[in-house]
Amino acid sequence: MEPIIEPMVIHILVVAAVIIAALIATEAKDILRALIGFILMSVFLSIAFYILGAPYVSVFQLAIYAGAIAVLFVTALHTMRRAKR
Amino acid sequence: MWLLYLLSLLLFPGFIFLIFVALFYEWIDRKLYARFQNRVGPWVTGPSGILQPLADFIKLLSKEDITPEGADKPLFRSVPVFALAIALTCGLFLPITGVRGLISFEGDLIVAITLMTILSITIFYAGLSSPSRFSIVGAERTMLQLLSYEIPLMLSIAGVAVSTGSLSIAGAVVAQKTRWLIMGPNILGFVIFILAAQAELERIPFDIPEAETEIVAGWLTEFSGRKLALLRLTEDVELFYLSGLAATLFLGGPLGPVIPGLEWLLHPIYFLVKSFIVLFLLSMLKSLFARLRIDEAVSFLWKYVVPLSVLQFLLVRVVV
Repeated sequence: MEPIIEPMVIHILVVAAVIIAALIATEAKDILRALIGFILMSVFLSIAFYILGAPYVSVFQLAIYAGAIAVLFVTALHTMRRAKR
Repeated sequence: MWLLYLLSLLLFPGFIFLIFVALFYEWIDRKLYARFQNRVGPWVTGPSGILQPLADFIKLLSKEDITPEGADKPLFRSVPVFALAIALTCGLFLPITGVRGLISFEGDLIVAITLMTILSITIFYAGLSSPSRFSIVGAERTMLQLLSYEIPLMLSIAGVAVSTGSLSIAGAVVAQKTRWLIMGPNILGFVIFILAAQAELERIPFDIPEAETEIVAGWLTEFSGRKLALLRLTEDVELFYLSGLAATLFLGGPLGPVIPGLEWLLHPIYFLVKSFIVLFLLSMLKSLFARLRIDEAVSFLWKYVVPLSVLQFLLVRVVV
């Protein structure tokens, strides 16, 4: 079966998305937006890992960074807002 | 080939099927919940009210769609779409027609659970982007609850992974060809999974984030019209997904005695019947209990369910 799009093109697009999401994560003024950037970056990075042929690295990248670490950040956010009140 | 895949993605067992089954499950859930309370439940629309969830959905789609003045508008508008997209993606992992789901790769068990966590984070965003204080309190409660039920959920899944020796859903299904996982030490994992699923779905006794008598509708308060319709549909798809996942991981999924040549019909039927059993349990739990307070729920989950899940993991490790 001939793939519709070249794998290399997909790879470059995914890596570009990682870079853009990372820029959002570091540059966004609003912490909520920065966190979205971080989650998107982890998701795209895990896709990049999968394309490179490392399924386990990709799965754990997703589970730990987009799942666990993001929850940790959200919890920090939640306590911070409470302190502000 | 591509066309066939696209059709299965869109029709069966893809999005259209998922949406209609989800609405059907909402009907069953409401009907069971009503019967347990000596009511009749949905009755008017269609035979025994079977079309009621669909009618509710269409009604909400046609209602006025309000974005509050003080809301974080881009976030507020995109959250319902993202939530539904994530829930439908989760549904594609379910092995409805055979051993494999539409999306199937090594390690998809972890991805399937992580997507649920991301869905909870999306819900947190839904609450925080609304200007109402009820929404913010609901969102914070969602997060607090997520922190307490996620570890038991992950550990019960880890028990499955250890006893089947595979990190993929397909592997778990194949390993249950002769004996379902629930017949063994994994029964404790099943109980924990059901409890955690109830918390994930924000149903009684863990409906704290949308406690009606305290905080109106929690994080859902400010949503209306199309956005509310999508979020309600998300909850239904989530209900189908979690009952299907429990049926897949502990009750053998779509496998069962099969007449050769009729696999394409029997596999989905087995899958649906098994997930009905799980749905029945979930509805029963919902009608048996009353809502816990947030501190009661968190301390219950941390004091009893987390140690219990560690115990079941050790038990599985020793027995296997």
